[in-house]
Amino acid sequence: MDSGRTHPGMAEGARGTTGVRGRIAPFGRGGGARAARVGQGCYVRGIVLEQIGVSYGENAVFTDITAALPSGRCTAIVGPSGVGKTTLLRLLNRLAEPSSGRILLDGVPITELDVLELRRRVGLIPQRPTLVEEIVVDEVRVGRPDLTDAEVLALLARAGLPETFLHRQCRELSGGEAQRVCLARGLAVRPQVLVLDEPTSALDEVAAAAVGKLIGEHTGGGGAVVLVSHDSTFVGTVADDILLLDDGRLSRLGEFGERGLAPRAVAFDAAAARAEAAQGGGARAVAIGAEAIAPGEFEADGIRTAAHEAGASAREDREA
Amino acid sequence: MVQGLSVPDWPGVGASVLLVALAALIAYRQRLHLTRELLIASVRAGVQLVAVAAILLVVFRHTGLPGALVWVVLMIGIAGQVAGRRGAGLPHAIRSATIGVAFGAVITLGVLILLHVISTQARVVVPVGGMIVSGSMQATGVALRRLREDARAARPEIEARLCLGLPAREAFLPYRRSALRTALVPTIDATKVVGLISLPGAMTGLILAGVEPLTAIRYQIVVMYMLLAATALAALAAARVAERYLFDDAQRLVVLPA
Repeated sequence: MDSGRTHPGMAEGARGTTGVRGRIAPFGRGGGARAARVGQGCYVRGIVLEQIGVSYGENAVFTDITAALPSGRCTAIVGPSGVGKTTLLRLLNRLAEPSSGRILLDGVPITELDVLELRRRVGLIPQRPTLVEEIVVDEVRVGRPDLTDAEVLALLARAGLPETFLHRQCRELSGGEAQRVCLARGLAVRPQVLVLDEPTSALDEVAAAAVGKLIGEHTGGGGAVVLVSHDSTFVGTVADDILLLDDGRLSRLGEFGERGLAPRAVAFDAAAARAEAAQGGGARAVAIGAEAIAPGEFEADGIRTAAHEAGASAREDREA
Repeated sequence: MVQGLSVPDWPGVGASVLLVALAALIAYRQRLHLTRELLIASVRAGVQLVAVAAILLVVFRHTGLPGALVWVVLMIGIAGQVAGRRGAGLPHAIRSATIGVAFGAVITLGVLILLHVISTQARVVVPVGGMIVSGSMQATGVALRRLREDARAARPEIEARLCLGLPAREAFLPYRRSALRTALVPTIDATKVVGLISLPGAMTGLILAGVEPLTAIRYQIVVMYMLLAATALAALAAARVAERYLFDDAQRLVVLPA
């Protein structure tokens, strides 16, 4: 893409889904820190989906999805089972290919990147924890054989596992422990975009809080996080943007306040509150704009309840 | 040596038909519903062997080494089809198998001929080539079947490695290894117990034909060694080719039919 051009789809997507103001325009080629500065002073890095469609033969899973999954933010994708959320995530590191449209990473179409480099920059942690080595330390080193024991320990700690796990047998791990080892293994390659498919499906509240903290650190460090989850509490705690994938369309469900600002509204249950405590009080703004929720408009598994609660609490907040 | 051959003459062969009759009688009296099949199989075996003998006679007498090599190439083609069917479900299974068998057979037979281990007479090249192609075929079939099973069952593990930015070859390495192990172990085991548990074909044939055992084993040793090389080379080549077709340009494991 030449650097003077604006991609209408991208600009629209970014405006439509993340609330970034202004024209999103020229991206520099290449990745990392070379993302272009946008006219009105906001950086947009990360992933942009342009009119993405996936279909198998005659059956369209989804069509014409345009969205931005920007760096520095955690975007949660929610929706009923079987609408293609996992497929959407697999498009991001080219484990799957869209039937139409294209995906940009820092402004560069991902099909133009070396696919191995892409997969290191966009780290997908699959839903089902799949361990391929015998002991944990080797497992974490699969993508980075050069890691020292100390580095592996640090990664395990970030995933919420104590150092006693270093030499544990992988086959003896519980589902939740395996899920966190997979997370540490994915973090080892230092992805710029962290893509998590149901990261808390096997985790208890404390472990989920550790993952929430890790997500906060990743976005705080300028990385992007994209996650799919049915865990409404977790999504409410960690997500900056919530996108609903349903009926082949992706729509914005909610946008939370800027991190670091006073929360516009807070919808925590006890577990989420503990999660915050575990994070050392760095209160995350959790607000689902009540106006963004049209009751009854969506049925996203457990999400519905939470969004309603959140909406209600947002309203209470404003009234107070 | 020809004078010393103790091979059944045609009347002898005719007499052995009595044994078929014996088996057919048992099948008939016991109502196994196998009599017809048994008789057809016996006739078919006779006709097939006579036909092959006629062709071999022409090859041995008139075409020399080139004719023998054409015969070996035909065998490679047939073996590729058979082994490829074992890997049915893999993309381009027959092509992978044929390339594997050809690779194992050409190198092994080439080494034997170039180093003058065996003579270039058609009557030597054809049966030795047959043993090599047959061994390569079995190893290739086993390797491809194992690859197909692993490519289906281990998709999550393979994709877990791909997700970490590992190239397809590395992500698939454990499965290629296990396919090769599975393919080679039978040949290695057969090599270990040769002479103790079974008297293999080449040696049996030579002994039956009146050759001294000490002479016969020289051939058998060469046969065992060449089979080790042929199976290893064939399985490796077939696995490498199949692996290339298992992953697309974007280092993705292709979807296999269920």
